[in-house]
Amino acid sequence: MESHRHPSERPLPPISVYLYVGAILIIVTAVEVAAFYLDVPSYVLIPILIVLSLMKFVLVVMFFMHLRYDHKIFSSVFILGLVLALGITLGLITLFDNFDVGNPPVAAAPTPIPTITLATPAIPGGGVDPNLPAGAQAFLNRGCNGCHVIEGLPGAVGVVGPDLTGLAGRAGDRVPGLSAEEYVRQSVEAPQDFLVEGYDNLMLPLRDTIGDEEFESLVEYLLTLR
Amino acid sequence: MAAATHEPEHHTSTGLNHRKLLMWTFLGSECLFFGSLIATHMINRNKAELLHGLSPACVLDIPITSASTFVLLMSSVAMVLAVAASERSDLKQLRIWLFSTAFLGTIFLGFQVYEFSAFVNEGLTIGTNLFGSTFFTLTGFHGVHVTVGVIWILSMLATSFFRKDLVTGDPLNIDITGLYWHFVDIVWIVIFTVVYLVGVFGLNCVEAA
Repeated sequence: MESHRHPSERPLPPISVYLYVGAILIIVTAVEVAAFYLDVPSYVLIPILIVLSLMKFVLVVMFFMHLRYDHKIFSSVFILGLVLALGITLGLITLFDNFDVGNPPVAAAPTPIPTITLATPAIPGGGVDPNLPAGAQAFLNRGCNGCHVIEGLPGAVGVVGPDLTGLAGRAGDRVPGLSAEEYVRQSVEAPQDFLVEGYDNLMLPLRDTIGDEEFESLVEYLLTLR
Repeated sequence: MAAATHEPEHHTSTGLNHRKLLMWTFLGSECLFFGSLIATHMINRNKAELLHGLSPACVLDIPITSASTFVLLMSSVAMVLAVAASERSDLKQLRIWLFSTAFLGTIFLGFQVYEFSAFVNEGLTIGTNLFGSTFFTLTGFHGVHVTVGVIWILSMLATSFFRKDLVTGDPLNIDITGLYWHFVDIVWIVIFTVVYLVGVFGLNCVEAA
């Protein structure tokens, strides 16, 4: 038996180990999917999902791919590649997602997408593009664009208020205990509650003059900003 | 074992088999390949300007993909049972589990074909926006890996009928096939969590007006 295995390697496990590992993989996947549908804040759920997925990864590599039993050199060459890959992934995400280094002119040449005909984008003062999402139209109609920048939304150029580009990505982390949606909602309803550092309490109360439907679409739109 | 009738593997300075070491080195490099594709996808998937109702939250189908993930995990279990059968020189079990693995892998590909055509019907192609480009490139390359794996496993199954010695006398052949297949599985474990679950969670789909 196992003539191809190095004398220093440990014997392979019995079949039952494979079946246990297979069962764990299925259960963990079920837990991940179930957790996805629970109403948990993303700063709790996302780390949990990452840890569970890492657990499945390690189980397959150790037991199904036998790294736990095989010679260390096999582990070394694989882990070398894995560590480099993780480094590249984290490096790229840090550079382009969080810090937006140098802000490359990504939005410089937005090409209209083939399936939806885009009319001329909204020009300040020239009417609002009816093809924009309802919330984006509300944003422009209510004059939010006069004070807030949203990259990719023509006309949103004001600098009196905070830049809202990528708002949904950070809204959930702004106030402990508040989800991204709760944060955005309260910020529109009561602008003075959470002032962004470096900005004064200048925003006009909007909630009293805006209809429920328009308000909801505005919140929904703001939550898509990544 | 009956391996005595075979020429033993060439002696190597490490005492380890070169083919197996090559496979692990290849898989290490594949980590870089898929890692870069996943990172590119994560950076670009929600670039706002061109989404217009074709964002991850609008098109990705979590229930369907959970089912295909389940199928691929099961295929990995079948594959490891094939490897164990090969170690025992149990030809019948080996064939059963090789066939099961290829069968489940094919079902996974069927899910992917369904998913891709559904997305294209909704208007999302590889050229629509950055989400489409990075998504189809990433999952497409994974699908190609699964396809290669299915062909490889089916060829090992065919081999078991006319060159039995290659699959039982030398378990390494199935072992290496298994390493490749499990790697394809762990790449999907990462894609399912990062691209699908994390990629959609907490986002609302904003339809184009």
